[in-house]
Amino acid sequence: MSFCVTVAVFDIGTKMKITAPIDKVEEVKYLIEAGADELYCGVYHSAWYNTLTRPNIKPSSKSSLKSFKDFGKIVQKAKGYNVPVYITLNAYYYRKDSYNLIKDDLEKAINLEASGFVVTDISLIKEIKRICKDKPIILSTMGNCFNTETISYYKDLGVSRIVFPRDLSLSELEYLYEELKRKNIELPLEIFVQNLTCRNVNGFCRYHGYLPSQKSQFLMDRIIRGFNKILTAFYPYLFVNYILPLEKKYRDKYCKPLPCMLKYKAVFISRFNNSKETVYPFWIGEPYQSICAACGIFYFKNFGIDYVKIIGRGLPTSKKIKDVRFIRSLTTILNEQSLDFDEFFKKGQENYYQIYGLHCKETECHYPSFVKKRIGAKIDE
Amino acid sequence: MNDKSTVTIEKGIHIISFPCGEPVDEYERLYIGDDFCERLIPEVSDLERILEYTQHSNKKFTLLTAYYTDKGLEKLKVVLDILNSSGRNIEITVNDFGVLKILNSHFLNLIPILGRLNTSLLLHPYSRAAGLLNSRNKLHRFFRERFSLANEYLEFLHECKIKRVEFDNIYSLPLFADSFLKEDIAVSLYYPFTYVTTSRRCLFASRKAVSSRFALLGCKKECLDYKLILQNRNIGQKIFVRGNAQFINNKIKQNITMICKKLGVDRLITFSI
Repeated sequence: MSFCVTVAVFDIGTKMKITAPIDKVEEVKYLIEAGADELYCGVYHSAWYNTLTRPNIKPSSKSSLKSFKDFGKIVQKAKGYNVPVYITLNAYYYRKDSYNLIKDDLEKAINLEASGFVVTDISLIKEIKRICKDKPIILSTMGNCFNTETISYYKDLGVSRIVFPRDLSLSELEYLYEELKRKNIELPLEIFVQNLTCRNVNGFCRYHGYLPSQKSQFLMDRIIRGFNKILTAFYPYLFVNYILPLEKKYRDKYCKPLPCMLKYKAVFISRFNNSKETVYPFWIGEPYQSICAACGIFYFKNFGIDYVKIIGRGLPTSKKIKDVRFIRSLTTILNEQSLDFDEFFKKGQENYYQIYGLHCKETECHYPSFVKKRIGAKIDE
Repeated sequence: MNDKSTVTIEKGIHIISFPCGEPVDEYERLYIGDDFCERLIPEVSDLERILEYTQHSNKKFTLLTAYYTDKGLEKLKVVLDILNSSGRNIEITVNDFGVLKILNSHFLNLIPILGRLNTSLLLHPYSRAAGLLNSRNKLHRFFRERFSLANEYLEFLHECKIKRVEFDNIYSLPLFADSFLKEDIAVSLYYPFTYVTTSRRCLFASRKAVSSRFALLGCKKECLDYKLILQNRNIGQKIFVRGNAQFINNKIKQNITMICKKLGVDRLITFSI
């Protein structure tokens, strides 16, 4: 698709909102002061340890709060700044063993005055609509909204905001926005701007639940311990036959880095004559950890996107604060100055250097081909 | 609820392109299209040939659909329109709720079935509850109850007129098949490859356009000419790549037809990379 670069002009006051991750109570003040307009977090408490499901999509317990007590504190602190706090309940599915648990969590979150919910599971969306009609439901990126029909489907279910998958290019976002306008589908839209590491489609990726490195070793231990506890209570003979092999298998084989982070020996095989070509090393994932889409902000507002989301639950507080400060600096530039993309891009690079102490790199850019051809060029990705 | 003792298994095969190189005589059903990539929607001319072939050879027909951008969806609608007006019982495998929406509102002659991209999310592909395939009843019941699906989810499937769900992980069947069967929702199995992930930065297309993060857009359908196998000694299994999706081989030692019968699966689809 041809995508013409234009000058973005914003009304002062129509500020693009920044949604920031939080996983510690003490981060509230710093993140809000850095410029966060909304906070989101998950709660992974002890009742979940004995289930084989997680309350939200982040695999590591480090990425979530440990209790609803902490969640309540965050909500109350943020209330002081008039900042809403959303809770992520965005596992793909909640099976029967965890459905009652998630309903309990939902009620606790409502009682603690959560501002809304980030959800994927359709059953849960319906449950939330049944219990509390007024609370906003944000469809997680796991909902895979690549087209207007899917967006409209979720809107009919009662979703009040959509988080786009990270896999849409700027030209695709523009086309999607034009289609939404043409079909009169109005819904607030949100997109990721920082730390977009994944290369695969998030909502369909099963490396997500893969048990990586030492961080998730802890989680796996909890699962195995929970498994052992329940099963051996009822079926002691199973311990030898089932649990031990499972434990050994996971520990020895699967507690390794995520498969998408490894380099591979790749063998391309022709379907016609079976000839082989070997490539090594071959990367299937994203070797860079903090992919940045901040320059896209220049266009997002024109594509009807009102919220930009920073990924980073589980990251150090300092990194979260820098991310919020950087994104806030860009939205402020857009709000206060009339710039073309080249000027905006230069200012963005300066701010990046000031805040992170590093130069922004093409290898860590989410829209590299776009940025390369940025001025007056027609982009054909 | 289906009676497992009387289950007859329908044999299907997924073919990448038509006419396909391999013999399909022994199969009653052909699966056409792709459930991961919007670039692989069959061309109208191919579709007409397939419809003619399946009619003459008395074979049934299922179209696989993926997740789509609006452009892909427009192309798909043309294909659905042809199938809808063909007057045959044609199944559409749905992996995108937008497709489900248009099927239930515009193409009422087509039969929606829930694709494996959705069911693959139920159990991790690397989970190996192998013992359950031949387990004692008590153990099986214990796990099945723990893993069974929430009623709300099953109600949603009924609302969407879903009468069949598709799996590609043999190990998830002992845990989930009964949840569907007791609701009169039939279960299919793709075998032997189990889906792991999909990307819009296709590994075939990105060979030539490494700088782009959206390499699907630079695609020349290289995946129809090549398949790809990935090896790393840290990963227990090879990863098989077809198009923009990655799979592992979950072939089991037992007789797959017997296992399917035991679990109430009434369709077995041969799926190769």
